[in-house]
Amino acid sequence: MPEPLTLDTFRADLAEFLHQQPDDVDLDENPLYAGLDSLRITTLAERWRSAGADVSFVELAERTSFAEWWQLLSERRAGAAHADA
Amino acid sequence: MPMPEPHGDRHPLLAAQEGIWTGQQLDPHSPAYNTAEYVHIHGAVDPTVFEKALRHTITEVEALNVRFTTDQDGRPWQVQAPGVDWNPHVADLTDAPDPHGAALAWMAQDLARPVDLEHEPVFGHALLRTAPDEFLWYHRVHHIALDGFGLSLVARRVAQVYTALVEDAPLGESGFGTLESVRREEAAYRASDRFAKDRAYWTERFADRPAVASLTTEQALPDRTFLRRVVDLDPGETERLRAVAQELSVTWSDLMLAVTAAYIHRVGGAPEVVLSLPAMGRLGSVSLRVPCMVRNILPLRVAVNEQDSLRDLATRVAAELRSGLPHQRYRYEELRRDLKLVGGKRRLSGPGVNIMPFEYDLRFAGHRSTVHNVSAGPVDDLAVNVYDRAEGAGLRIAVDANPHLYDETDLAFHQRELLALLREAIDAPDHVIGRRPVTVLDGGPLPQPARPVLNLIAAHAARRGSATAVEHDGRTITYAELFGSARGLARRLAARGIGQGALVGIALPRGIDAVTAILGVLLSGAGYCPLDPDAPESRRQTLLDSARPALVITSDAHAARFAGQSVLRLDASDEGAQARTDPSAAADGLAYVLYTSGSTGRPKGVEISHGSLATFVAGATQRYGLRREDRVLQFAPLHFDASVEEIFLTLCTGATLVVRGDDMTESVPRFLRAVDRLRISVLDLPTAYWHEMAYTLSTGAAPLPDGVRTVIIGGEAALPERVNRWRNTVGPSVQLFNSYGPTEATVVATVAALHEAVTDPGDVPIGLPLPGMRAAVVGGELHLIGDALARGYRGADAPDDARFAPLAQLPGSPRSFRTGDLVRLGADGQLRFLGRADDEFKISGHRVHPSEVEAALLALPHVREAAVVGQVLPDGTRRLAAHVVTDDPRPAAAGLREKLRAVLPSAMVPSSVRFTDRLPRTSTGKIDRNALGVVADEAAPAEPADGLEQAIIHIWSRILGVEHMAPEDDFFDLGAQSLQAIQVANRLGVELGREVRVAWLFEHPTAAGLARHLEHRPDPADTPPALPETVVADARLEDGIRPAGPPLSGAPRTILLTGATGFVGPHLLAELLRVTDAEIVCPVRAATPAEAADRIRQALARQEIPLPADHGRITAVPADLARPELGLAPSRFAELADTCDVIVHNAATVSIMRDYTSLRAANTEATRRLLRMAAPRSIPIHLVSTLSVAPPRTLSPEVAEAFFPPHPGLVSGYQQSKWASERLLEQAAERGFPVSVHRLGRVVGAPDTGQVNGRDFLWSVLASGIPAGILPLLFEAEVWTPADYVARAVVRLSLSAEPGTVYNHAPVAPIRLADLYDWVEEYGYPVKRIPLAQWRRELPRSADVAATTGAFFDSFTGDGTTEDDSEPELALGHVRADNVLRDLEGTGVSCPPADRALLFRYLDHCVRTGMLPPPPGRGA
Repeated sequence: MPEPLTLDTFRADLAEFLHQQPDDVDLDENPLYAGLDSLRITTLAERWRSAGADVSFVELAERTSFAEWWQLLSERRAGAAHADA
Repeated sequence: MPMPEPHGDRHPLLAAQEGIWTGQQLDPHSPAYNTAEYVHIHGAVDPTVFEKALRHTITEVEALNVRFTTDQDGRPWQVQAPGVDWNPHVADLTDAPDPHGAALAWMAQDLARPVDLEHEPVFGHALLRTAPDEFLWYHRVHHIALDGFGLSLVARRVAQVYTALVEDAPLGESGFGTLESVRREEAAYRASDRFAKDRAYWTERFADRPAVASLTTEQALPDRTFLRRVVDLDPGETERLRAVAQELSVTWSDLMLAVTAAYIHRVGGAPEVVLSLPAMGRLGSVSLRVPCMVRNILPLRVAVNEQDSLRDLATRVAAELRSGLPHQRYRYEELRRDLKLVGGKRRLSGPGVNIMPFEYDLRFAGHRSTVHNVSAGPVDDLAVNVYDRAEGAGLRIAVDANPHLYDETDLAFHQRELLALLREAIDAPDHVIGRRPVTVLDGGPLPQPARPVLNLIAAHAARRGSATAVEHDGRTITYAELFGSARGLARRLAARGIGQGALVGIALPRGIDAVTAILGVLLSGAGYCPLDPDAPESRRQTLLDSARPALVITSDAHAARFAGQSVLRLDASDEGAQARTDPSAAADGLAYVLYTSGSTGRPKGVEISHGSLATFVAGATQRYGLRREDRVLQFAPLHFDASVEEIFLTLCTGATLVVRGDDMTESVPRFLRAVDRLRISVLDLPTAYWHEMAYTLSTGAAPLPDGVRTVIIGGEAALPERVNRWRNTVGPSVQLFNSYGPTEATVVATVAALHEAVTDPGDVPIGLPLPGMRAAVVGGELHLIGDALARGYRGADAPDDARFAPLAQLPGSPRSFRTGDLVRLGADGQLRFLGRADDEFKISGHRVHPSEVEAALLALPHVREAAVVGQVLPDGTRRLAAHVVTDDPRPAAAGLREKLRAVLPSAMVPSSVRFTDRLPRTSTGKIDRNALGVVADEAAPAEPADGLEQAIIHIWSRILGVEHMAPEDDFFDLGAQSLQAIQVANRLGVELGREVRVAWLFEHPTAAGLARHLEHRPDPADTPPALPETVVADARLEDGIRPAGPPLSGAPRTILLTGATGFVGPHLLAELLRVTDAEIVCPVRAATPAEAADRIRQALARQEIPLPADHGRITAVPADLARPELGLAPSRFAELADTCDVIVHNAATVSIMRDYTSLRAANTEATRRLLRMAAPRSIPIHLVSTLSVAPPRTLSPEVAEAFFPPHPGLVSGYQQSKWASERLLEQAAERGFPVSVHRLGRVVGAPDTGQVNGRDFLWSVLASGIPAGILPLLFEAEVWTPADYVARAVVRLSLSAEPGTVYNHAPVAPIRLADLYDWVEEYGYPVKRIPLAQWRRELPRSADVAATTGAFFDSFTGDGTTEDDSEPELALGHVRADNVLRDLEGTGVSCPPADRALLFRYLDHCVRTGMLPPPPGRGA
């Protein structure tokens, strides 16, 4: 059973893919300029889906900051009211 | 749902589309940009609903409702064209023996069809049922419209719509954004700081323009197709890959990239690899929701060294990606332009790795599906495509290869090895993978210990002293005599102080004396160094300075050349005293020194010891199976090491050496007769000479003498084609050994027995090492190990000496020689030679280092810079080309070559010397050899191409805005961009009146090079195959087009006549009005009905046909036959289909120069559309065609009045389009359409007016030839039919024809060309009749009529490169016209014969209209 999704695990996931320390992750950063690619975003989306947040690749890829990602994930976390896509 | 933009809306292309468009222009008829996939649906699909879902989705996708046009400048535009006309292909294949295979075959065929971007839909769909509950949905789209992600968006939407339709649920919105939003985003990006930043990043990262490594050293433009091998990683392996990725904190794609880079490094040893990485280019972009083409390619630099593990490499890849990905929006094409890496063989990146991670779990009304890629677009080099398939299925790896560069065997090998490396790496991520793998082939032990050559020869002298050792020109010498004289010479040498450790030069021609001298030197204890007595003075001096021989043995004749040297003249037998010798040479004692070309710019001497020589002799004697009874030809000059093989193998075996006489090789048959006369049993030949011999034998010009039992070849790569000829002619009874070996490994290192069983006829092995030797393949490079290796180079030349080094990868680090040759191990375990790792070039058996030739050039006065490259011409000819920068005034090329001949062996003198103002250099200042390698100037500098060159320079300088452009300037160095190249090609094409392909500008990027190419065009590779697939595909009449309803009866009330404004059309119109009471509807290209009517009036007037009294029955309709529904409003089309009673289809675009694709719409497709119009009411159609669709006389002695199957005579696009039209009618006839076909010959003007069709081919030949006083011998005779007669006959026969009849309108005797030219002279024009080829050469280039006709002949013969006077085959066989004669009998319609009077009338007309000047002595 994967860990539930929290801001800390979110930061840790990003840090892993950005080769940074979790505290160094800048949530205002644009995922494109942070050097992520579609496979990395797909992989993150899969990870977060299995942690209970129903997000798609496109939804992540079209957002232009990590903060927006977290906002989306927060809305979609299991238990949160399901918004229509 | 976004509304499509209004009709006719046009836009510039997106940057990514422009890249694709440019690529397509390089080969306009290539289907390579068709991308496709199929979705395997596991469940029942309702085809009707599916088609509805497809149609619905396509209306939603803007990018699919488009056409692409070009403006006058050759600039492309995307035109929104909603409501594109298309139909899915729906088929039930369940009855096929192999439904799935049949489906894939259909897809392959569909994919192979090029798309006409201007007129056709960019996409296609098929729904193929392969089992009761299995369907394959095939989806093809041109890459210019969609990229892979775009394709996936469309597929997802189709699945959604289909599901909703089946479930009767609302379809919902597509959610697609607009193309306009993507365009705006792109424009905003290009204006942003980010754009400048991204550009700075890339140009800096690639400022040094790194060398691009690949798995081959060759380069080529993409082919029209590609090779593919697919393999699936099983779920377990995929899991393991993902786990390792996670462990290394990277993604699995990084691992794929790392392993691919490692593999490329291992094959070629490159210290750095630049991969091509397709990138989706959509992060943070509106295009995430827009099906379109925005994909980019990122060049990814990966340094690889021998100590790297997967962990090292993957980490490096991930870091490089992190720094590059933020800049991924900067276009690859743009970066190439920035870096001046456009055109020629300049590359920015090598093999591709394409990762497709898109989620693709589509459901069709609940049915599962799996997606399979069919084509990902053209392949430049090699591409590794990785697809992440549906959940839990594992990865699929499809390796695609450019067939110009790899064959199936290569691809299979690379795919297998790459996969093995991937598995090895993920099993042990911390093990070294950067190290190049070593494969060792062992030649096995020597049959017995190697014995010194002198011992072996002495033994024969002692035991079989009377056996003949050497024969030359009638002289013979026995072993005892040979050994005796050699010993005498040795004593004389000893008396001069020569002994062990010394080197003695031998400057003697082949012969008994030379053999005696060699043995004498060895018996003295010294080593010998053969010196070419005929070498240029300075070359000889260079060798002497390096070799420092203690003495030179020569003859009286040559002694003068060695003034200043200590010389022993062999012929002066009385000379000097004799002394005891000490021949007991130790194994490491020097046996001989041979010079080869050196990479340092100086020749280098290879020192071979007695031990090495003995090892070679023992191994080779056994391998070749030499026997005492053999008579071996001594072919090679002494300074080639093949002479060592010939002399020592023969004498050590006790066989007879037969020395070649100089005149033996004057011709191959003569050589073979001499071989027979001399009873030679073993031939040891340079491969280049053997190529000639194999060819001659295969033609039967001379037989191989019965006595020959063994042939050994070597010196350069054997051509598979010649090996096959040999096998077919000579068979396996004669041993044929292909030998390979550098001088540094004593003559021969590996040998293949080509007479033994063949595994792959296209593949010539170099075999296995000789006994006593080992071969190690390190990466792809061959290293040799064993006792036959040379001691080293004389005078130790550090960079070259490094090539003898311990091979650390093998146990015990044995000493090895790194050959610099790339090899591959075949499935049969034998080695194959692939090419050189450096720029050494082999020519006529000489190893040539270009640097040595460059050094010689630079030593000449006034030469400032020089670069020399090896070139292989299309016919396989190898040659050296020099590029030289000199002071002014430029010396003559011939003069330079003459001077080089004084210092270099003739094989090293470049056959081409080109002057230039500067050499192309890379940004690091190195000479750009790739750029030089492509300046392929065709052999003979035929006509000076100044005019052509100037035209090219003129256009380029205008487009580039540069003032001074030299013929040797590289367009792309001057900043040319691909789009500009396309513009130049267009303008040049217009200016020259001939086809100029964009690809040629890339292949020949200088004005001089392009001019030469155009002069010699077309090379055979460019000529299309007999009938292009498009033609064949277009010539199929759809099943749906069938006649319905009973045949019409009664007099026609409405007749549709196409092509009423041409040369024949007005006559047809007048005739139809005359003999019927029908309304004649004439579709005419015009904007308004008034303009259309006006054009008809003008056409009648031009033909001097009085406006018929009842012209009120003419209805001119604005139309465009090249457009769907003939360019008519749908209602008008339907109305005509409803009312028209007869169709006379006379329209065609007649152009002898245009290619098929530009004619198909107006010619073939128009016919198809008319058949569609005719179908509902079975309207009769009569097609006016041409006799030029007939096979030429060489193929068929008679032209029948019947439909023709495809034949090789259909060369021009016009012929093809008319043939395809006939073919459509043929099928229509088979289905019961009432049709007839009327083939016309040369239609001349009506006799009463004497009209001449100025656009007619023959008349344009006459109009250009008569003023120049020369006329070409075109053909023997041809049929002439006047236009008014033709019109009467066609109308008459059409109205009465038996359905399905073909008429050849050639009812009279042909007019003889000789008569025609006689009459021209009688009219007053003095003309000389000359062969066509000569006419083409002599015709003044200024005549513009001549330009098109000349170009036509070029294209027609399909071979402008040869200078022979071969004539194009224009002549037809006897034209049957029985149908015409029979059906016109008694009608009063008859054809007047062409005679002198008629011709005079035509010539009068020409003079009257200014088409010809009045004949001399005759007033105007």
